[in-house]
Amino acid sequence: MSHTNAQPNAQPVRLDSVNQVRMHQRHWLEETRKQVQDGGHFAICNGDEFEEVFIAMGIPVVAINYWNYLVVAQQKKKHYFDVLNKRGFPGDNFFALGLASTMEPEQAPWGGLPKPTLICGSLRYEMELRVTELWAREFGCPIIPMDFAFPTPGMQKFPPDWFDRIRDEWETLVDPHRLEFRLAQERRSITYVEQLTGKTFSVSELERSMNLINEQMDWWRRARLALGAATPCPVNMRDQMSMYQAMWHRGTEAGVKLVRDYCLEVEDRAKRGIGGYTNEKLRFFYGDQVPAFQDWAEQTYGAVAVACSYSGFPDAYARTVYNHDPMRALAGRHLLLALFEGNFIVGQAKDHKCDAIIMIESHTVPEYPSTERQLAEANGIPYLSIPRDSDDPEIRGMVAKFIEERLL
Amino acid sequence: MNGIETLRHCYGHRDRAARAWKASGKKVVGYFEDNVPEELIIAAGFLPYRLSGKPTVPPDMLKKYVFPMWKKHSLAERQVKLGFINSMIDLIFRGEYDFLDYLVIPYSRKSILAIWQQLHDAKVVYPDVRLPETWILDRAMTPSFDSSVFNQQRIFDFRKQLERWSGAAVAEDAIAAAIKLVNEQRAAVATLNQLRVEGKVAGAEALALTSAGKMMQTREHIQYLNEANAEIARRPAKAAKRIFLAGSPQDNDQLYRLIEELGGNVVAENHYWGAPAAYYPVPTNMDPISGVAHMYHAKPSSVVYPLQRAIDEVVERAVAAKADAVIFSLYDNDNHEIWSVPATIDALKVAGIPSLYLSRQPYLLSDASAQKTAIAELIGRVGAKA
Repeated sequence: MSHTNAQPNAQPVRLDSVNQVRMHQRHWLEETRKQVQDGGHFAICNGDEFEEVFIAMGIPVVAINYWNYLVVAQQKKKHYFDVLNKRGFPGDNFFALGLASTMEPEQAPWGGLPKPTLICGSLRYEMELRVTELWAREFGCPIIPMDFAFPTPGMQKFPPDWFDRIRDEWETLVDPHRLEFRLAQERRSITYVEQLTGKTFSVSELERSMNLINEQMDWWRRARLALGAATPCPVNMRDQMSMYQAMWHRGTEAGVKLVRDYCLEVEDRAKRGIGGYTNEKLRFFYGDQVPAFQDWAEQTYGAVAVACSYSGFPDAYARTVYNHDPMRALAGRHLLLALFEGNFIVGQAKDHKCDAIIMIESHTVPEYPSTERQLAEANGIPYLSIPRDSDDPEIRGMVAKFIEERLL
Repeated sequence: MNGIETLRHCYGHRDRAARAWKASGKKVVGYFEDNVPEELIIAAGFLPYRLSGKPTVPPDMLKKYVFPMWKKHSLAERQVKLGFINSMIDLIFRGEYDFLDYLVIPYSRKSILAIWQQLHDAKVVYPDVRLPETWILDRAMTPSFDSSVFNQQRIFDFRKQLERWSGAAVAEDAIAAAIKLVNEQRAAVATLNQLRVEGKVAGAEALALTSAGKMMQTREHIQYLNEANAEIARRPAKAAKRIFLAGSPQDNDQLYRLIEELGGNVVAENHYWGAPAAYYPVPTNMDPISGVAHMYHAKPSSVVYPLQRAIDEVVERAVAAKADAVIFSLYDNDNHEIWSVPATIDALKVAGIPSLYLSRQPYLLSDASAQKTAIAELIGRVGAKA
């Protein structure tokens, strides 16, 4: 393992386990591309919709947002926004980057995705279903739509400790009629996929896969707790988010191994006092992913993001399977993730020993502070809201003022 | 006042009829969008009332009652970015809808469904704020056997909820009578639609006459609209470029007036404040409640699936209205609607109908110079072709 602390202001060496997951993902992509070029099946799927079923059926699946982030990582975002604009789709539509990369694949990762067997779209947001329909048209492949998903506003209020109940008492947190409908829709979709691919679905295999997801999430949660309790924080936000790629292999032995290795490395680093940042003095929870201003904040104040909106996903993804009915548990999870809630955010900030919470609030005004702010401050955690994730003079000014007035 | 004047007055003073109803000791059930079956509300003895926004009123109340409580994530923030929806929420908190006893929140689009949580959260923080009791009318959007069953069950549930509100059973014969009434209203709107196609009425006026039906007693609306139709039928046809309006819903006539000012006339549209209010009559050859459920399932919400159906609807309706051109007007952040526009424009071209795409439109057309230029160019183009 590499434990060398970098010089101040230099990029720390990445964790071995993070490099492993990045390498695994590259290898998986390459292998999948070869298989598909040789006529194998593969699916494109909206995130948190149906991936587990494809995985349990042995059908490689590309999650749409993963692919979109790949387009962004290759610095092609602007090019593909232009492609969309040119074709009459105004605005900057992140979700449609994959569609654009198929419309003009020359500059796309892989030279563009090959034609999938099918696309699974959903009404996570109305526009997402439309984009996947257009994408299926572009490929000339079928689409299976899903109606209700986790961003569909629920018809009941969650108890404040929902995150402690979500794993075992998940059925009490979802709307019963939507659960039955979602189950029916997924079962019907499985039959369609079987007919389309000639592959056979096995409920036993799905149950095994769901149990592997739970095991993977247990390792991830253990890593998160070790990471949060350690000072300095053993993993920077860039590496924490890079590990998210292991999510695309959830429900497989490979996914469990990747996260187990990560957990053991995090615990080892914590034990040895190795930090993920080179200049950690103040720790904050960030209401997005890697803050755009992270490098500046670290260099100027030693302020580092140790937790973010996605840190709590291990708690949100695990589900206990009852009565050998993994489909029910999975459909329930497809209806409920609820990561972005005040009590959960404050809990995560505490778990990670944060000195502050920085959230993106594009709508709130000072006269009417957000409930997240009130909750955080009531818990003794200073709270800053910024209007956007950016590294510009205005945002730096706001962060600097907050740190100097509230944290130093 | 004659029929036309009465309906235009109702459109201009949208709460009058509902307040009068309320003053007589009866109750009002408000609802959003166009896929809540008014038949059941009428059968339960309530006045159905469709909420609308006011583009001239900035939605400042959201700063106090919605934004502080709403989830702070880009995924959730999409749900508080549509001007016409924010305006309706704002008006609720301003007390402009204080005559509503109950409020039905349909799942027609996520931004509408989110209102349930927004109202609930506001009530927790501000217990004194006066809000109507709410009910979510859920629905499945994509067609399938399961969706049909799901949507039918939601209608059965809605009936039960209305019974709870009214304290009495909603009888089959009451539903049958309400179906007959609302189907008559649809027929009256269909007559007006035909007069529009004949060029006898301006789009802004027709919009007012039709929309008023969502803000007053249905029986009265039918009476006044039939009177209005008889008067309009006697008018000579007026020459103007015939425009079909597609895109976001228009709860006001700003764009209609602008088009008229420039020598065009909206002869039909694709949003349910206008011509489509005549569509999807409830079938009468089955149990009344089943008929309502059938209509509810058959009539799309804001999400029309699949894409081809959305494309075909615009083309078929524009052709039926003998439109010279189609204007697509999409509000800023109406991100669902934008994806069908290019393919629909292509399909219209095949049908020989030119079009104009006004994207990212503000809810309030305060400075409409860019729109004027674009519309004038379209009308000039259509005129030259003619």
